[in-house]
Amino acid sequence: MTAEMNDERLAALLNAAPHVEASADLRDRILQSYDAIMARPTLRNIIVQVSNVIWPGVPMWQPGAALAASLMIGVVAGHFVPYGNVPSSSGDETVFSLNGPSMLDLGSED
Amino acid sequence: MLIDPDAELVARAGRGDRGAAQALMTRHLPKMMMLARRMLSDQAEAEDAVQDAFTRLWTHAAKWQPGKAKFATWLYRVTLNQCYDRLRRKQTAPIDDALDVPDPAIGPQKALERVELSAAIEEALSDLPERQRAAIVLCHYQECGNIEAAEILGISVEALESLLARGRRTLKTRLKHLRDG
Repeated sequence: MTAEMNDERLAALLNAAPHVEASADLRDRILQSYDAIMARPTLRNIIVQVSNVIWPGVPMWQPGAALAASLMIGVVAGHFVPYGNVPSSSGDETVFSLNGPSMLDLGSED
Repeated sequence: MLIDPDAELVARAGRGDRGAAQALMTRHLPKMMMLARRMLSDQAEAEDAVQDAFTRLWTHAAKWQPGKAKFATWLYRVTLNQCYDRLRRKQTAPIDDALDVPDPAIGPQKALERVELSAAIEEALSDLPERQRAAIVLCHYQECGNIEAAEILGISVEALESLLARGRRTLKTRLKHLRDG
């Protein structure tokens, strides 16, 4: 036995420590805790379950991104697309007269 | 971009895929048990620590964002923190609890020597300060590289090397009377 132990010998000694194994009971407990956590009615779990139904098998950010993109398109369209009468590109204006004869009144008996 | 071999499984487990959760458990449980057992020197305590670490994993799986840190690094850090909490809460169990049952396949004398050797190693490890013990366990038993071990411990590589050097020096002194079996 040498007075000074080298790293290799220390490693060999450490390897002699007993092998550690997880019990079957521990495996069961871990999976039971998973089931319990997934069954909790949290907002996140509800969102996850709904997104799994609508868009199964994808990460949650994908349906989230699709929803955000559609909202963004709606907001942009609502902001930039004019509301009401749109001027024609030729600059002509169509004038409607409420007092004139109706062009659609084709069935008149006058 | 960091490619994490666990990212897909974690995402699936977060979405309620039990098979993915089981695969994650199968992949990481042995190393987590090794880490907890070496840190706590007590099988029951180690199993509780590992179970609590997994509970934390299941709770956070849906929020896990790949690319920030390697999943295994985070998981081993959680396990280590569970061990630290337990070490602070209670005294280490008597070393007799950690003894293995002698292996009947080898002779009784040899088996007894092996058990005594194991006990001496466990005792020497459990006598190390927490951080030195964690460094030795991560680098020796978990086969982590210095960079990964330093990340798990939340320290610099230089600090890890210092912990390793001091831990090894103490172990060599404590174990120099032993013959490896």
